[in-house]
Amino acid sequence: MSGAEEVTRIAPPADVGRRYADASGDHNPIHVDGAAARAVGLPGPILHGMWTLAQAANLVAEDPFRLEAITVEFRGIGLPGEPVEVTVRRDEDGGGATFAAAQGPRELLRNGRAALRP
Amino acid sequence: MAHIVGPSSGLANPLLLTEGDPTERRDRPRIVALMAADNTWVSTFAVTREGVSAFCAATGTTHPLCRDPDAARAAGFADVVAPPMFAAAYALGAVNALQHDPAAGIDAARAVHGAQSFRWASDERVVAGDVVETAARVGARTRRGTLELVEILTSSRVGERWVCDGRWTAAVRSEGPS
Repeated sequence: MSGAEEVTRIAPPADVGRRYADASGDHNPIHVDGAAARAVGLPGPILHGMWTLAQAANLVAEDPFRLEAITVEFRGIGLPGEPVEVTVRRDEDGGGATFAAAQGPRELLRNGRAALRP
Repeated sequence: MAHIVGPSSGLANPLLLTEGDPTERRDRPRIVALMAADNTWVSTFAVTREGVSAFCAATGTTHPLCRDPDAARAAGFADVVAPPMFAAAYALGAVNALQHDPAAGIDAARAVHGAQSFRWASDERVVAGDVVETAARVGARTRRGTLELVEILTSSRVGERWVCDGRWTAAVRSEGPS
């Protein structure tokens, strides 16, 4: 059983690729270097999937320390210049939520599921 | 910063690895095996206040325990507490060490991040000043069309205290024209 869908639009902050790379240690150049991204067929630097997942985690768990587990599949590429729409559907018993994220027609996260502690 | 130690040639205190669905609710990880020294990559990560702050700023995490040292101390912690998703940072070193070692058998140049799971201990609390040790090994490998899905399983702890398990799924394109 689950409640209504909540959709939140999040604009990635300026320089999100560099900031998340420095904060997480994920220095894959496709997230910060346009030339490196284009060299592997991407239109430009792309969002870290883990940054997008962190946005969903923030929305699912207002108190992050209630997070017990989270799982998700990464789909299409996220572009740092476009807002991300995160869709959350909470369990009626408050014990967790399902979630997904997209940029317009492009799926970024799917089959997201989080479990929350009481 | 993560300091890579692996691939390990022998862990003084073998970490415990678990199996099963990381979102399944349970308080304690089920112990599958004491990790052998072989086929295991390990990293250590020193948690700093600056590192937690930068992660929270980059991801928009605003909880006072994560952002305010005074609030954290008032709650009984020595310093700011990392949000659970900081596992993406503290466990990454072991994952990278594994992925970039040809011995692990993952063609990193053809791999993208296909899926991710984390499961946290109920007392996960990773605090600035802690050192997180993570061990990574290769889990299931399955084929889906032209992709091979390779699971990298991590287990992280602070001292003797287990804090988080992760399952990092790499989707690797088959050999051929890229």
